Amino acid sequence: MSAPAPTASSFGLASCHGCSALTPAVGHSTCDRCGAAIHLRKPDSLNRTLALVVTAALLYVPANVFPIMTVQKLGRGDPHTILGGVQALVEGGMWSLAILVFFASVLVPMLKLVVLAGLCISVARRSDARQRDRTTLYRLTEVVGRWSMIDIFMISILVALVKLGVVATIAPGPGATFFAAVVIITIFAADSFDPRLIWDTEEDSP
Amino acid sequence: MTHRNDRKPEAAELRKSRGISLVWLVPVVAVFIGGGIAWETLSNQGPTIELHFEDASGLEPGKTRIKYRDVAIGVITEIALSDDLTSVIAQAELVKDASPYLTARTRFWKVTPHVSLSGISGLETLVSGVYLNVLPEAGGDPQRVFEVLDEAPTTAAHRGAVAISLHAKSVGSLGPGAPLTYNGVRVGEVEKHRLMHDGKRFEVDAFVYRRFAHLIKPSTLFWNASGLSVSLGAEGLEIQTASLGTLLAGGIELANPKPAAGQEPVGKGARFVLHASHDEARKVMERSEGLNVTVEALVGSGIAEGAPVYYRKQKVGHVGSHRLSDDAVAILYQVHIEARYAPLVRSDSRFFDASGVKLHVGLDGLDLDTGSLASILEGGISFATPERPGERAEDGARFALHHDAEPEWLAWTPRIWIGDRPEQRIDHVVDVPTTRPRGLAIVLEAFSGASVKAGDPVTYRELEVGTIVERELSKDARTVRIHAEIEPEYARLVRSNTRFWNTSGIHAHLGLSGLEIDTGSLQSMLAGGVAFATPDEKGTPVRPGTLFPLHPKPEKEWMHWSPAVWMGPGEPSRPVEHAISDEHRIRHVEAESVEPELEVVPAVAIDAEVAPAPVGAEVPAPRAGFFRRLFGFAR
Repeated sequence: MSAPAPTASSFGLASCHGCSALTPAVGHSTCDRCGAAIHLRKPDSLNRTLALVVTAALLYVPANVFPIMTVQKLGRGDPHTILGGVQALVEGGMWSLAILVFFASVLVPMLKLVVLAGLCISVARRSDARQRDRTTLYRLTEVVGRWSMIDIFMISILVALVKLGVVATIAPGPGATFFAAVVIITIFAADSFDPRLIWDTEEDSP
Repeated sequence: MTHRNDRKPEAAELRKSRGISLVWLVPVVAVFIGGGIAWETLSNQGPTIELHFEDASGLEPGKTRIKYRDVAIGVITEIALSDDLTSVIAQAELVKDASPYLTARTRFWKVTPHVSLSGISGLETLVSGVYLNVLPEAGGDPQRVFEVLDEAPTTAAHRGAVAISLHAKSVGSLGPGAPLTYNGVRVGEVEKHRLMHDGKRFEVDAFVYRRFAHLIKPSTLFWNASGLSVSLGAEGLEIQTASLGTLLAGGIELANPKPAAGQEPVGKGARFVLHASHDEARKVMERSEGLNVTVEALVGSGIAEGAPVYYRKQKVGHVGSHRLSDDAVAILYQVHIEARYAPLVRSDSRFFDASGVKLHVGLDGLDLDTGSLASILEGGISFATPERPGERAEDGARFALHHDAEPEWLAWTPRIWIGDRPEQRIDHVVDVPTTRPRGLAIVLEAFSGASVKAGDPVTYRELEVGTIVERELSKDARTVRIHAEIEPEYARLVRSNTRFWNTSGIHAHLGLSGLEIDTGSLQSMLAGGVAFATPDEKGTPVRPGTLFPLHPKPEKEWMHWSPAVWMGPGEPSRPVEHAISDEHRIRHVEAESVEPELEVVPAVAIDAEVAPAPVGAEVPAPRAGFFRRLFGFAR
């Protein structure tokens, strides 16, 4: 491994979260330029991320157990859970749509939780394995995670659009709320994670 | 930048977080929320039951609902075949509150679209799919396994309905759902029927809605009103059917005979006889009210079943049935008298045959002896009770049926209370032949009585002044004696020298002067009769019973006789000819006005010769003259 590059913190400097200006990181200092709080690392990052991941994981259960929406056609209607909806799409032969919904609504939130939990654990254990890969994984998670909201948006639009009384009505189920919560909390969790912690093993702990 | 570098960067303050970060409150809150919802879900989860079906048609797991009063209280979650493949077992989840109602008495049934003649039900299931209905009933042994019925239990839709069972020899077109009607109002339904153990009768299970349950008394009568009952009688064509639905789907009618009024309604499970027809039920009903007597006739006279029974031409009952007596000598008519009229029948009442046509067909009118046209066609029985009525007739009393009524029977008008309390009544002057003031009775003797018969008129100048009462052979059988009665006011017209002749038929005389036809009025020509004339020099008034000879035809001179006879008790100054009849006078005037025009015709000469017709004097009947003129023209 090549000699470690000098870091800002080794010079007693920290990058501002807001404008990226290097500011001396002393106590609870603020950025000289934009006035934002200056931290060497996101404060309490591991704890926050882990707590949010746990929360999201807990909410992930009711999000999948409760029906996400109820589609009523001519008085006949059954509530669908997320997986039930996927199943209905598969039975309907709409494989592509089924795969899309399955990825966006089932796989992505779950992987996100797993990835974030894994990152937190690896950071806490000061693992130095595959740091670059882990960083890539984190970035991917952060980018893809928000696409899970597509399901919630779809439900919102459908509920608003399909109000045809007896002919067809779509009503959101309690699962939708939980699912939205899961997605939002995982977004926060990803945001509160500081990927620099992955690399902190190379120097003395800050 | 340099000024910053002047500041010696201080070592970052390193704060190790001790204890648990506040951020962990977030998952704790999530746990509470999730746990709360999970607990709520779990605690709301009702009991799971097992339902057994014959087949699973229309059932879908997770979709088929269980409803009570159209509120979903559960859903079928799983459907599987039983191990022996004979039935379908479904698991269903019910709401939490359902637990106390899952007892051995609770029944489940499948609601499917059902179209029958008595209605369409379950139509909503065409769209919403099959669902299960439940009739929860608390208070039985708890149960978790249920057999699902194919059809709704009858009491389901009608809580508090009273179940009854009816025994019938045949059920006709009665089917499940057929209505029970009371005076046309639907009061219940047939549930099902089955052959009884003896293999001869059917048992029909029916129920009566709660609000009509009070109608069902121990003596309530039920009869099968299925189909159409058409009876063609003298009273017209009668078509009986309860309703169009009943006509097609069958139905049961019920009625309460009078004795039922005071009875307590029956409870569940009461047994009744289902009569095959209204008639049959009516007979049973009659047995329980009114009076039933037997009338014995030696000669059958076409009295039909259902024929009316009259009392003074008022229908008071009818003939129930008739049969030969056991020794085949008499015909026994079962006569039913309506309850109200039962007191009219006394031990000394006389029954007589009122059937057939008992009218004298004469041109002077129809003398109807029958009650109504119906009795002519159907036959009928009349009865009369003497002025001093005897004991009230017992139920089942026997009477003889007389072929004809004695005239005096018809005059009987006993006073018998048949109402609840005496009512104000107008005193009637009863028109009875026997009470009529008697006129002058005379006897006419003829060699032949061929065309004169009882009831024929006795005329004086074409005016009816009396009637023939009867005719008989004289004691020595040489002549016929005809008894006539002249009405009192005309009695003085008959004198010792009065001549009587027979006006019956047409007397034609063919002579040299042509065909001479002499006849009285058209009526007397066809109906026959006796006419008389009194000479101008009239004899003395006669006593009743005086004998006169009856001439076969009048002498010509008799026609010219026109004696003045004072008949009334009033002033003698009144003109005689006017006293006879106004009508006659008018005819006379008409004849006068017509005559001059016809004078040119030769036939009139005969007429004139026969009747010189002095002004103001009587002329022979215009009609007689008309005939003469008619035939005179023909010549």
